[in-house]
Formats: sequence, structure tokens, C-alpha cells
Amino acid sequence: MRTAGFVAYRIAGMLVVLLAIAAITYAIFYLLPTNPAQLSCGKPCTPENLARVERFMGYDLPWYQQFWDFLRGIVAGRTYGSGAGAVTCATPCFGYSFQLNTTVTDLIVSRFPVTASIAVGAAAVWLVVGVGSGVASALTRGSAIDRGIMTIAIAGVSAPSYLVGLLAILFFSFTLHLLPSGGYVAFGDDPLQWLGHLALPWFTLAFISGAVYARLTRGQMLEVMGEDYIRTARAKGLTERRVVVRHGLRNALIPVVTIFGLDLGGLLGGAVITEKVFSMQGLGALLIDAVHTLDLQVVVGFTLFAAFLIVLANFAVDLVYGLVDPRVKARV
Amino acid sequence: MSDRSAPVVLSVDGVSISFPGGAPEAGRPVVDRVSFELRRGRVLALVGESGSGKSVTAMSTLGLLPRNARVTGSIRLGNEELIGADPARLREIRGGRIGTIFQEPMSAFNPVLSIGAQIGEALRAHSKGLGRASVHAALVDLLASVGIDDARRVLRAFPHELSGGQLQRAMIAMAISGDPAVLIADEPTTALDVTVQAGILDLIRQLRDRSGLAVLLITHDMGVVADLADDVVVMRAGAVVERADVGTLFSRPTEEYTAALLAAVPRLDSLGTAGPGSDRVVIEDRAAEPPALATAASGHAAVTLTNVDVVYDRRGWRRTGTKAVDGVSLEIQAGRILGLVGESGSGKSTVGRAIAGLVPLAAGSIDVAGIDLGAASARALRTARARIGYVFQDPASSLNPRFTIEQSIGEPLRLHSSLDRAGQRTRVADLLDAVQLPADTAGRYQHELSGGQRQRVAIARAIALGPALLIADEPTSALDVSVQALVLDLLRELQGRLGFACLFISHDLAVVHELVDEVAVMHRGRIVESGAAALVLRSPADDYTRRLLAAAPVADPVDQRARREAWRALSLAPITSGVS
Repeated sequence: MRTAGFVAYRIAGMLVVLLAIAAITYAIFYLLPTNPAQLSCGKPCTPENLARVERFMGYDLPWYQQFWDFLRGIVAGRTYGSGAGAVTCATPCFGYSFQLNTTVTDLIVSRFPVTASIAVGAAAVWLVVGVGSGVASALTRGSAIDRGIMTIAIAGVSAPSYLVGLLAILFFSFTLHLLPSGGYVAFGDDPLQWLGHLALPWFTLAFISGAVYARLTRGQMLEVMGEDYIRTARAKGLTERRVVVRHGLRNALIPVVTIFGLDLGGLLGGAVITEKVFSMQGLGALLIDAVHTLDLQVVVGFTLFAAFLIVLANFAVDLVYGLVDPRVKARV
Repeated sequence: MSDRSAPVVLSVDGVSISFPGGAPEAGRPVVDRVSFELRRGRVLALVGESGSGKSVTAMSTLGLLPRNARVTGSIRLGNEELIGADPARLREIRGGRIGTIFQEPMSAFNPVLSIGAQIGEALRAHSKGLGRASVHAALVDLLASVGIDDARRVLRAFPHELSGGQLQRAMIAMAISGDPAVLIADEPTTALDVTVQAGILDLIRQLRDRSGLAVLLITHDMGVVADLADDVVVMRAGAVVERADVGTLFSRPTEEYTAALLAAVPRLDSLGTAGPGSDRVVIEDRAAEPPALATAASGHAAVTLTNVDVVYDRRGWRRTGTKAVDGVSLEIQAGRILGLVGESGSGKSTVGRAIAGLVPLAAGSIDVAGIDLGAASARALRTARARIGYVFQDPASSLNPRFTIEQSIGEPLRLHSSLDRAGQRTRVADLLDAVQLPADTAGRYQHELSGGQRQRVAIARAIALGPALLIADEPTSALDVSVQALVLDLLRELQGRLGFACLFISHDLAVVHELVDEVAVMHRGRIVESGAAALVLRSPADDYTRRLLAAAPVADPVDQRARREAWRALSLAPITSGVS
């Protein structure tokens, strides 16, 4: 009962946040001194033509009316223009790119698998490698292993992703000829090729984020292993392995869960630099293009989608938190 | 209790422990040739102040010292040598033949696992191949044997859902789950309220008698020693000072250190009441008196609280308030010390915080030195605060580690006085002198001082502005008894000289008894009894006060036995205080 109430409360909160984000992005959209209609108006752009295009796109209406149409489009779909030239944008409609002549929703649907493949795979790699090396480092504190791992981690934390990506391409593709340097093959087309194309982006992202996780996990583990309950666990005669995993790691991972959820949520909204470096047509690459061409409908739609992912990740983290840490429920 | 010739279960023989490397005094043994024997059915208390090496000695029997520890000598469990034993064998012994209870039950349990999972884990570690159902049945039996009635709920509960007393009982259940021969109890009741402590000590006593456990009790509390121990080993700076049976040690200590230690323990009068019958007169006597503290002879009130409520909001999406202080009225005369006593959660610290204006009032009013805190302007409030000195429990965390002592003591002067820099410096020097610290303390930092010295600095800071009221919230709870005695002396001396009113907040009835003029007893946010200290602490009128007094152990084995009986009789009756 309490949990249900909590979930309802949080969903309502999420909607408010998303509405606020939609309003803010829409405001930016309007503050820009660009008229999207001008870009689609063709040459020569006579005032009559411009007015026609504006009416077609709905830009002739007052701003609140446009914002309302945008919001209504998300839940009910909308139609631009009327008659034979009308363009329909099905529910959920996040806008229409008049430059690419397709709905923003379709763009997201077609590009999201690329970004999701990169993000989920990389996250899995960095979670395993980062947490694993963090634990190893903490348990061998002060040893050569610890120092080695932490040195690599410093490199990972400080290296920019384009540098790591380019070096990876140079080494694995051009020198060793092991992996392709870029592009994307859908999993459904050829699973092996899919894996081959994703290996380098995964490695690049995992190297950078894994370093952060290794440092965080190490610090947490060192702290937790000094807690009283670790001494209790040893005093009841458990094996060291059980003490470390069940009593140490379980507690050390609680803050890692929070960061992981948010990192993954953020990455799903577009791994901008990595996608560019490896020439993969994901959400991030498309967003960069849209910014360049001032395709504002796409920018607004993508921003909202990315925000939705982050808000959703936040919500998921809170739910998972309740599972891994029973003390959280009491504070709800 | 078995006799002195019961078979030896665990013998510690010439054990020395050192930690090579690291610290400057490295290599110097922290435990130096310590020997003692644990006998079946007897409790051996290892007593000493902080740093005496008592806990390190106990942990060495479990092989649980840090990896860099060097242990020499011999520790034998039965006929088996434990120093240098195979790690796998030591694991079998830990939680098997030797069970352990730790000081702070809330942190000794893993916060994310249920109590059932944690005790079950200990059970399974020592009897492999137990089925789910038989583990559960064994757990229920175990909890019942340590006096937990609703075993099923407790097994499902997480540590934060249980009280300290329940947790410590669960911890004991876990310690005895392997059917041990030896129970190590490392400060088992230090973190608990006295009424809870009495129950836990009683339980350990029962276990000793029922299953012939040999108990190694590590404690700094002479009252606990008097209550539970059969034999006592006194340690100081890593070495054994004296060993004796409990009666001899308390009546005829041979070593000067032991005698000094015992002399430093604050005393409670023996309970003046033989039984509930004789109290009736007192209750009726008092009924005629007004509920608030009787105004003492002359003096004016330094602080007056009238029907004060404090409500803590719980943050979250469903707000529910907790009434921490409920209709409290009290008055402290200038030049008097009021002791505010109660167990944890009784609201006594909140009263102190409310007087200092640190928590808002939900109802009622507080008047400090003629200023009504509720109605005062921000400026008047600052003036009022400048008239209040505050001393907290833990001096290490209430002094800024980046400040020199001079900066710490001088801060209130900078904020509230018109003294120039030289004047401030002179005043700080005077204050250091007043709290009996050497003048060169001014330039030092708090980590260079001992606990007792730090608390003197905190007191100097509190009296820097010549306060009308000094609030001292458990000022000696973090200190060793010998240091505590000195700090209490200092407080008394300063109060006599400077004449401030003092609110002395404490859970320790003996300390309160030694220091205060009047006393007010708090229970669940209300004051259940108040009056002259001598009267309230000798012949309490309220049920709760009586129970609190009976539960407080005194450092005298004979007197303590009588108190224990009184406590047992009282704890069978339901609490009625606060109801009337």
C-alpha cells in the first residue's frame, strides 16, 4: 500500500519535471533569433511563401498555443497543414523535422537501437570491470596490484573519450586490423558484426567510466571493511570470501547503484562524442546534426526524450535502492 | 555461579601484542605479558580505561587483530593452542567454541540483511547441511532463549527496525548459536540505557548459570563489574595491575591504581526505600507541592520554561511530527545546578537545544535572562545566546580541528565582545588558567590534546562571555572515570566561583547525584518527577524514576545485589509514570 502510494507520488513528480523541461526547451527554441519557417521556405522566399510555410508549421499561432499543440501532440498526435499536402504525425508526436521530412518519433525509434547498443553494452562492461578492479584494489590495499589498478584508473578518469577512441581505432583497427574502425550493423542482420562494431565504443566508454567506478568502489570497500559488522561477520566464523561479498560488497555497492542508474540514463540519451568518433548514427550524432542545421523540432524532441530517460533512470534507482537498502523504505 | 576451582576453559598466558611499523612508538607492545584464566561458569571482567589494551587482548583470542599485529605468548582453548593456529580452524572456533558480543548493537549488525539472515548465517557456518525449516526452528528457539517473545517478527526485521535492547539480545542469540564454551562480551551494555542494560546483564548471568559459559567481560564500568563479574583483572597501559575475586577487589584493593579507579567512580546513595509500601507517604507528601520546581530560597530565575512543546517534523511526502518535548515546565535559579536525567530519546537534549534557541518551539515559552526567546527580535536573540554557554558530549567533534585552541576559545569573544585583539588574548589566557590548562595550550590544535583537556577547552569556550546559564549536555560521557571526576570537580568549582546557573543533562544518575542541586527526570518527552536532588534520588515518588534508579548499577557488589533484587521486583510491574 505504502509502496503503491510512493510510486504514484513519484510518477506525478516525474510528469511535473518533464513538463518543466518541455517548457524550458521550448522557451530556448523561441528565444533563438531563427525562424524555422525561413529555413523551409525555399528560394526565393517571398513574404507570401513564408507566411504560408509558417501557417503550415503552426508558427503563426501565439507561443502558448504552439506549446499546447506540442504537448497535445505527444498524447494525441497532430497534423501539420491541411488538405492534400497535410503531414500527419502519429501519437506520440514529439515534433516533425521539415528538413528530413520525417517525424521526430520515427527518428528516435530508428536511431535509438544504435545508442542503446552502445550504452547498455558499455555499461555492463564498465560495471563488471570497474567494480571488480575496485574490490581487488581495496582488498590488496597498498600492494603493487592496488597501485597498478589505481594508476590505470587515473589515466581513465583524466583521458577525454575522443582521445581514447582515436587511440583505440589506431591500435585495434589500423595496426592490428582486428576490429572495424566505425559504423554499425544491426544485431538482427549479423550478431557477430554487431559485436565487432561495438567492441571499440564499449571499450572506450568502459575505460573512462570504469575508472570512476573502480575508484568509487575502492573507497567504499575500504570504508565498509572497517565497519563493526564486518568484525561481527568474522567473529561468527564466516569464510573471508563470504565476509567480503555478502557483508562488504553488498554494502559498498549501494552508492554505486545510484551513480550507475544516472550514468546509464544519461548515456542512453546519446553518447555524442563516441558516436561521432566511431561514425555511428545514434541519437547523439543525429542531435549534433540537428543543432548544426537548426532543426529545432528535432532538438526539442530529443532533449525531452533524453530528459525522460534520465528521470526514468532516477526513478528506477530509487526503486532498486529500496531493494538493496532496507533503511530507505523507512525514510520514504 | 560455580566455585573458584571450576575447570579452566581458556587460558591466556604471557601474551604480548605489538604493531610494528607505522606509528612513531611502533614496536612498543600495546599489551605486555598479560595472563588470566577463564573458568567454566564464571565471569572474568577485564577492566581498564581507554587505551589499557583490554579489547585488543580479547580480540587476540579470536585471531581477529589487524594483519600487522605481532602476538607472542600462549592462548589455549582447552588443550588447543590458538596463537598461530590454522586460519580454517580459527574460523571454526569463532562463532563455534567462542561466541562474541560487541559494544554497539546497531553498528555490529549488517544494516542491509535481516536479523534472521544474519543469525542463520552463523548457524549454518558451524553446522553444515541444515535444512531451511530446521534453521528457522533453531532460530526461533534461540531468540526465545534470550528473552525475545515475538521471534518471528524479529527474524524478519532489519537492524534499524529494532531497539538497542532487542538487537543486543539478538546479538547474544547469535553469539550462543554455536553452543560456545566461552562468551566474549566487549562492552556489551555501554551503548544501552540503564534499564535495558540491567536486562542484558541479567541475561548474561542466566546464560552463565544455565549452560556453564565462561564469560570474558570487557568493560570500563565498575558498576557493571560489581553486578556481573566473579573475578576481575585490572589493566592499565597494556599490563595487568591487579587480579582478585570481585568481593576482595571492591572491599580491599591492594594496588593504588585500583583504589584510585574505584574512588573516581561517582556514587549513588543506596536506595532508601525498602518497598513500594513505604513510598506512599512520600507520594502524598509531594502531591501538595506544585509540579514545577519549587523555587529555592532567594535567587531569581536564570531560565524559565513554561509548557514547552518541541515537535520534530519528519521529512518526506507524508509528514508526521514526533513530539520530542511535551509540556515541559522548569526553572533554574541563578547559581544553581539542575540535573536533567532520562534515557535516550526522552527529550532531555532537545530541552537543552530549545533553550539555546537551536530548535523552534511548537508551543510554550522560554525565558532566558529576562528575554522571551519566542517573542525576541533577531538582535535580542543574539544577545540571549551570548548569555548561554554550551558544552557538548564529544569535545573532539565540537571543536573545529582547523582552529587553534586560542581561536576556539576566542571565537565567542570576537563575535560578542568589544575586546580588541590583545584584550581577547589576555582573556583566553585567563580562561585557560581557570580551566587549569597550561598557557601554552593556546597555540595548539585539538588533536594534540587528550579527551579531558579538550573538554576543559570546551568549558573555557562556554564560559568565555560570563554566561548566565551553562548548558552541559553529557559533558563527561565520552571520558574515562578518572578524567570525568576531574572535569566534574572543575565544573563545580567554576560554578561556585562564577555563579552561573547550570543545566546538566545526563543519563548517568550517579554523576548527577554528585553534582546537582535539583533534578528533573524525563521520560518520553515529559518531566515525570522533579525536586531537590537528594530527595528525588533517594526516595523517588515516581514509578519510572524508581525503576531508573534501581537499574543503575553501583560499584559495590553487595549493594548492587540488593539493587538487582529491587530492579527485578520493579520490572515485573508495568510502568505507570506519566499516566497520572
